[in-house]
Amino acid sequence: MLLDEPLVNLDYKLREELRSELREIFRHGTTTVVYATTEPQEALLFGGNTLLLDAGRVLQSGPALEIYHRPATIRASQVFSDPPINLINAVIGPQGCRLSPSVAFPLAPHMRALPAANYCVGVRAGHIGLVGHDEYGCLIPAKVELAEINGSETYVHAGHGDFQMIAVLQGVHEFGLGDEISLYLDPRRLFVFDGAGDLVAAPGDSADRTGAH
Amino acid sequence: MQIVLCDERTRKRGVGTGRVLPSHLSQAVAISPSRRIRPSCKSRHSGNQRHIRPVSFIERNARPVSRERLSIRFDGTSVVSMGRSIISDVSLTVERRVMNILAGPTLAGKTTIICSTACRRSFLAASNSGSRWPGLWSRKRRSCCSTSRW
Repeated sequence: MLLDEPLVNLDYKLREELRSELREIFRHGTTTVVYATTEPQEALLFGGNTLLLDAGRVLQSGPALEIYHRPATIRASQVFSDPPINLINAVIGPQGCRLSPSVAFPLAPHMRALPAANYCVGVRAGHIGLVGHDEYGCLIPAKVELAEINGSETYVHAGHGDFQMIAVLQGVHEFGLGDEISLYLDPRRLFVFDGAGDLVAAPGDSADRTGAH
Repeated sequence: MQIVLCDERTRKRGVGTGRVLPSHLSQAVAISPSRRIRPSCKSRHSGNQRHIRPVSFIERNARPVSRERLSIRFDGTSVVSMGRSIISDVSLTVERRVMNILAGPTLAGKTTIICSTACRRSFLAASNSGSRWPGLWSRKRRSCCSTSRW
């Protein structure tokens, strides 16, 4: 069965309903299905073998969850993240990781083996919050550029220095443009990409053992 | 393995003289012999016309593949249209009874892969000749049933 973006023109509620229905239909594994989609959530929902494409080239292939947890390149992480993954230039050294002159934090366990150099770190929007839960929480003072209330979530676009971030906050939060807020990110949830854009460290077993969710 | 492509002229004659796909395409697609044409396709040419059984081309030329193994495989497939690369060096294995997801943004090449998986005759011919297959494709758009019997 070949399905080429079958749900793309449906309204949100119907799309959600049909997604669940399709998942139920294909759950038994009796049908060979090729399903094209632009939405990473659909790939994650259906599971199975995933071929991640961009501009006619294969970025990565494998189980959807594996691509989500270990995107091979910066581009793969961008394509397979919705909302977009936050990418920030960072300097990693023995002392820790520095994102800007005023934001630095100790290295998380999965980053400790990295040689000192310039990297690009990625953090998904859902992994940035308004409160730091433990000693690992890294505070980033930011200025609100846009706040969108999307059902039960609030998408906050905020800027700190020369980089912008998107945070998905649970619940409805009202922010005015230009409001100063404090965002926290958990270094244990950071993806680290080298200068060539390849993944060199991802939240893995070491991060799980230290309590990341 | 070789896959025989039956063009419009030979298909109307109903004889097994279809032309052979170029090597790069014939190596790119492996079709399980379990593929069958729908009965509705055969009945479309009933009456005085001869029955056309293009599925025999596939059956005659397809290498036996275990039903439990792969259905379709692409190896290093590239499609160029009007001098522009649509997909480049894409390899894909579609296994039986498995959910296969093609994920990516617009213009990633998902629909091109879907069409080549469906073995659209005009798509394959055009991708070989470099002609304007998107236009040809839309003019000669066929149902799933008829595209499977090229």
